[in-house]
Amino acid sequence: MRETKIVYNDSVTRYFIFASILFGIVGMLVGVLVAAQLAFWQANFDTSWLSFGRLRPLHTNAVIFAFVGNMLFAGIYYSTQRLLKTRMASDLLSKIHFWGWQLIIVAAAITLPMGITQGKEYAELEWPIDIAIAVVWVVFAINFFWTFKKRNEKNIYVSIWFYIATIITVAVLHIVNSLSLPLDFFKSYSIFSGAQDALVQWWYGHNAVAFFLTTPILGIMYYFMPKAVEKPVYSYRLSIIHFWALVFLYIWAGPHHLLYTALPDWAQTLGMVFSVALWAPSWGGMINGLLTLRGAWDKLRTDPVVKFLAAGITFYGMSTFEGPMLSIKSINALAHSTDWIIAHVHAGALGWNGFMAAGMFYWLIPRLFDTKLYSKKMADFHFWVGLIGILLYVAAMYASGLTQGLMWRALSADGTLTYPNFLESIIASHNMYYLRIVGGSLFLLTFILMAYNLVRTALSGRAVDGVVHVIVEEKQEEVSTKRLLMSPTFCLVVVGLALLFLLASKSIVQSFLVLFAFAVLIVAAVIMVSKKIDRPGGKSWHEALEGKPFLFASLVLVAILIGGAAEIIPPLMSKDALSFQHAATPYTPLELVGRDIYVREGCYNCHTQMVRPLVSETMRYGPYSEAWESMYDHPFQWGSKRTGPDLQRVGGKYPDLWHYKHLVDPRSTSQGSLMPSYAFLEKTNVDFDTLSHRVKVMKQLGVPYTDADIYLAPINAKDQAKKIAQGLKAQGIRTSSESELLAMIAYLQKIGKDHKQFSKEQP
Amino acid sequence: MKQEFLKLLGMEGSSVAVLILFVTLFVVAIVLIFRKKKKKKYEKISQLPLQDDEDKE
Repeated sequence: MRETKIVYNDSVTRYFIFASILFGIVGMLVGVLVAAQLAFWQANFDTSWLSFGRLRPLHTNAVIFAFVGNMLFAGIYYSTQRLLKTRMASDLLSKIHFWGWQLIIVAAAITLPMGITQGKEYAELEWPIDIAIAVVWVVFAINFFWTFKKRNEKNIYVSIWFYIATIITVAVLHIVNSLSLPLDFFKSYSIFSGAQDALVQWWYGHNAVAFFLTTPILGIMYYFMPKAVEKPVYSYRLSIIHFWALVFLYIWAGPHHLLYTALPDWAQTLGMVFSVALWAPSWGGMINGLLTLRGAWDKLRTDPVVKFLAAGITFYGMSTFEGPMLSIKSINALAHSTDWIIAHVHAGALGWNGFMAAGMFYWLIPRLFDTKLYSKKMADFHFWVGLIGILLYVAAMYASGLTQGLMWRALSADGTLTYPNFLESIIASHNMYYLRIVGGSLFLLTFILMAYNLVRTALSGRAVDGVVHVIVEEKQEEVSTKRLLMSPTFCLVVVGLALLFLLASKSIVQSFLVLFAFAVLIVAAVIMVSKKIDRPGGKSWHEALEGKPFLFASLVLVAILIGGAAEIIPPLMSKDALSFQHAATPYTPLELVGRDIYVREGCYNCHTQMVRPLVSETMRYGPYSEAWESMYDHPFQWGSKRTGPDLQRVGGKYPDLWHYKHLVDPRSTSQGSLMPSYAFLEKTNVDFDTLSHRVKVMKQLGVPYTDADIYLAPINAKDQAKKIAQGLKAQGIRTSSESELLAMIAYLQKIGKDHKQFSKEQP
Repeated sequence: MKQEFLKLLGMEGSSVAVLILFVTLFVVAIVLIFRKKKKKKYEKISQLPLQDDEDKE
């Protein structure tokens, strides 16, 4: 035994905190701007790089990856060092991680307004940035796992488990969902298409929420809540159940974003069932967090840190009740694509992430600068006004979301749609959009106030690094990894997981299998935490596992791969989507470039291309969407939000002239529309020289183009554009036949046409 | 009544015994996990976040 002095690397924590605050302000400022654009279309300023479709991804990326990303890294670096009682393994890697992440954020802030996007929500960044993200993430992972090697605390506290799950799962999600074939340095096409792309994207999208916005923050909760109230976590045993149940169940829930779509029904049901099951571990975590306050509830009155953390956890509880509820198909039918989802997301982002971040910052900054908080009153003001801001925001969105959902489905006594014009629902929501600006602005203003408070706090002190003296113990004999893996307990886990994996090929209604699998897993869990595997040391299976971070990480990987593989592999192998192959036709070169413009302008942020098999939708839009219709769509553009109507059946619905007028001045054809003007497309020409290459890349992805299609692409595109231009000229519109606007019209006129043709051919 | 409940769970093909077995297992697991005398086991590790830095530099 010997004593050693540890000086923690707290400068990296300070850097991440201030980066988080800075980018938080930027992200929320853009949020207020896009909220204003939805209330006043004039706020798009008729400028391409300021239009809603390009700025909304900037807002979401900035808040998720810049604000929350930097915040979670700050929390992880601070708590990991103290929980493992060692300094981070490499200061250099810590610096590379910090600066690399900031460069990625800057690259995102430049490219997204330029329209450089992959067109997949929360995964918009193009392939060079995707590679940079993967590299920086690996640097972070190496530094993190290397630190385990140097640790002076044998067992790993529950916060670290959540960090491990975050690092492993985000890496898997990011790499799989970003797989794409580059067209050039600024453009790539997803290797997946249509329904398969949708499934992969929402497996990623949902679990980005789970493993980027939730698990690391839960780790932070398990560290900072006990710190703030000076009491240990309410139930450590509950945290074990919370962790494994959450990690295992979350990964299955992605398809609840695709209910009533052309995704196979079994995958939708699986997503719904596991989402509902998620309620239990989520509330287990919430209860564990809140009950940590036992005997210290008085701190809620006096300590702003505890206020923020307790309110944050409460928002987590509300969001994780609402999420499973929204995953129930009948509720989803009402809420999907409406502002209700926006309310749900912001209750989580502002309430859970925003308040947990504030609580952590207010606790950390005085300690990192060896001083006291500049103004407690200001922090209290931040809490109450910020809370009012969140409540105003979500109340407004609940009201508009319910209004939209009910109006879209309302039928009159004669069986016709009560509100046949989609815009009626948007006009009815308009007042709520003003209220949203007020709520969002209040939250932003209090966040700026926090920044001021924390900067003044930092200036009143000096940057310090924490120091501890630890007793380094000699290595003790451990339970071997082999013994852990060969134990009957682990065999039970394997059997349970294998049974659950079979759900992919068996129907979910065979509930006996599900219940049996869960029963096996529960028995295994009980044995894991209770039965001693190591008699002399008195350790249970799980306690022994807690001392083996690499085995722990491997088991987390297995746990998250089971759900992902069970849901994703069968659809990738399925021939179902190809059974109508003869009906789907590839895009013409002009339509293809028009589609790229549609993706670039972020039209999917407001328009879906997915008519759900609901009476009100088929009456409003036409026949429901089928999987084969989007089989050549790299990426899919089903969308998730309707601020404008669904476009799946728009092809051939209106003449070219209507589209021209609508794109140049949306209010000229659609009174009350919030759509930005796309007149700037008329001033930009299509680069016809790139068309052969575009078609060639699509062919490489499996779209059935011939060599002649590739060779003749520019000529065919020019011919098609000339025809559209001539048609417009005959109706009094003079426009260049090379403009991007015509390519967009060509694409819009193509959407859903295959289905019309197929329906005509049917007897 | 029992059959209706099983049907609700999509288990109409299964026997009531399966449901009883599952519920029993679930309850036993909860009892085992939260029994009081076991709580001391995690006392040391759950104290970890409460340890403060000894000094600053």
